[in-house]
Amino acid sequence: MAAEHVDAVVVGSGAAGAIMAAKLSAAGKKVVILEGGTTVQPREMVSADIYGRRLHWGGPAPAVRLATPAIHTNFSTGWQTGGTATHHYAAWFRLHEEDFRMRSTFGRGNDWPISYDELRPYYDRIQTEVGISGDATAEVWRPAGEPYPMPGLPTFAQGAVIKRGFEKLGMRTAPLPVAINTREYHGRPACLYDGWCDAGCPIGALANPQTVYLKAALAQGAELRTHATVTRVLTTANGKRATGVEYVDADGTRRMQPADVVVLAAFAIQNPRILLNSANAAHPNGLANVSGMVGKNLLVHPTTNVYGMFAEETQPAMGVAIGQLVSQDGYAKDPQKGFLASYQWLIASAWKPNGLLGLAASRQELYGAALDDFMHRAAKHIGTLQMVGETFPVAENRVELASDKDAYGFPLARVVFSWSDNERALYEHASGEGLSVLRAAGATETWRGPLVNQHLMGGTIMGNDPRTSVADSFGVTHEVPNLVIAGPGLYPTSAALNPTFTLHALALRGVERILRAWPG
Amino acid sequence: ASDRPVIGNYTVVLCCEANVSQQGAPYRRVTSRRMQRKTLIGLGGASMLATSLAPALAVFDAREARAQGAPYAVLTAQDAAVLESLGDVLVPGAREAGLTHFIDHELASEQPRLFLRFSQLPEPLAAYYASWSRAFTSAVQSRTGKPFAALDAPARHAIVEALRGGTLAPWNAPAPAALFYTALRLDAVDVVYGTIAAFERLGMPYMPHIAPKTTW
Repeated sequence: MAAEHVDAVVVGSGAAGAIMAAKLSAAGKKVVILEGGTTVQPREMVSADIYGRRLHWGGPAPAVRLATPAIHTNFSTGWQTGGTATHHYAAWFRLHEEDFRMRSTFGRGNDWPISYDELRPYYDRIQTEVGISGDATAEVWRPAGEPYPMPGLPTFAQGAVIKRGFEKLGMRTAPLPVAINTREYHGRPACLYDGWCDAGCPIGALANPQTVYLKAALAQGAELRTHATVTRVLTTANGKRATGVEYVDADGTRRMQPADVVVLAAFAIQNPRILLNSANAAHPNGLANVSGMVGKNLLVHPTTNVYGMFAEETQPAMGVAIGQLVSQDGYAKDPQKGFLASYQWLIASAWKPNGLLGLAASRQELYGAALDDFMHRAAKHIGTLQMVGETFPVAENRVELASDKDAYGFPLARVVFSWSDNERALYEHASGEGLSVLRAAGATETWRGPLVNQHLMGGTIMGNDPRTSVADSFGVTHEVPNLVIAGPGLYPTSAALNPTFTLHALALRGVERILRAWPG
Repeated sequence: ASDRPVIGNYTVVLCCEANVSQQGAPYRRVTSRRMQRKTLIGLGGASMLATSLAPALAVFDAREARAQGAPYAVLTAQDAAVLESLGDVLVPGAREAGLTHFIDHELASEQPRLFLRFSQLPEPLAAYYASWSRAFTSAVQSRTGKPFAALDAPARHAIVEALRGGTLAPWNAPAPAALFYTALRLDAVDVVYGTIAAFERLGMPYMPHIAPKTTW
């Protein structure tokens, strides 16, 4: 059953799909957005951790199989309007210049096919459109760019206490740059610093798709269809052009959406899955996969939290979920450290008692009266640092098709991932440093969490060489010129910086190129 | 035309704009009003095509459900008793807070929000709780000759430590003992520490944008 032909079909309504749809519709293109998940509006973002989990791992059944429990993916995904970005914490960093040339500098890993200078204007424009709060001067590590349009986050007691530890060790901190309003910006209100970002931000202070680009796209005439699960990209018989996508609607009816341009913005796991499931006579190994690179180089950010209990009250509920301050003094990639990876510290996240990132989860070994005693002390005296690190890119970390299938008969995605000695060495180094910071800040007891993961990137990496990458630097697949990838799946390396700002900048650069050279 | 939000077949009547609290009066509690079952409507002005899959947002109070002795939808009474007995040791107060009714309610829903779903195990999740309950009962009986509820405090502590460390044997369940400890403990934390009342007990301000009608 085919629908009306449109200029562009965008698969996914998350951060990447939303900006692509917004810019395409602003240019007068007729756009349909197909979102596999449910409809969630800001007004339904109830402030409760248990509610918020639906934004992370909602959906009728797990869509991803894990080959090993080394990582989990469903904290970093989303099945609703706005996709994962609906619950993102809005730490918006620019990549550092060194992040673009790992291979050319160290002879290992990957290079990006563009430089920071090429991406900088797009960072600047997105920053103005969306609004970022920060202090560009205090961020001594920040690459060149326009100053932030809003002042940085305020520092509450937890941040002030931990900052003392960094200062004692001669390390610098700065307000954490966030796409969260510290004052009214473009009609969106200022943050209230109540720490409920994980359950979504119903007031629009945090720049979720629903309040920025998806809202713009819909206002400009784009159509959003939820519960529209895309199964395949369709092509001409010779495989040289995409003709649209096949999807299954909420009633289970299989439909086609013809389009001049197909934008895959279904994130780092489902994009490869769709491409692999799109195999046809012209593309027997999957679409855009003559190189065999679809699914390869899946990336995450190795992460750990370190914790301290302080004598003074730290107001741990105050602030935003991501934290108040940042330190990137350890960012430089230097094999002399014993690992080739960058890392940064996000400082003083806002706390809740329960949930995966709650007080109780930080001390899994405590139960009974000891847990209750801890909860009462931590509710007023805890402080934390989160390390965001870099994964060394390897093809073996990958998305492939599972042996079992979804309700529509298409193989699920299977994630194969393992940590290397590089990430383990990073974890040991950084967690030791973090504990030292907390002790220097006056913590009376300290502990660290395990090596875990956050964020998903790679799997459809971009590059100049079609033999080693899936798409070019604009996201256009090497093999099918009207099939475009958008999102962090394009990243050839993860850097050690939260990915959302960069994916916006890349998408803006990509969509403007597509509009200039509209296929036809 | 309506500017009311749509979740599946529900039109949600929320005082949404009132929730856009301004600085100066930021933490006024705003309570969701009510949800009305309605047929699909458009979102005023925008061509949003929402389709039906109503999420489980019905009002449910686990503490009240337990107090009223509400029947379980998924758990057996025997399994629930085991989960409740252990859960109350892990997090005191979990029994009265309705731990097993909370678990049961989530297991019966289309999209369980239990911590266990984070583990990305093949579903249904109910099978894990049932197998864990039976494996735990069997292992405790094998080790002590008694049911868990009949043990004294030191013996319970020894059992919990073995469970947490994955050494409780024999363990005849498809998912590990340590995951059972983690999952049940965090479920119990949800009902005991995840409520507005619990925040107040801990001295943490709740500060909701949109307050939950119940904990969940």
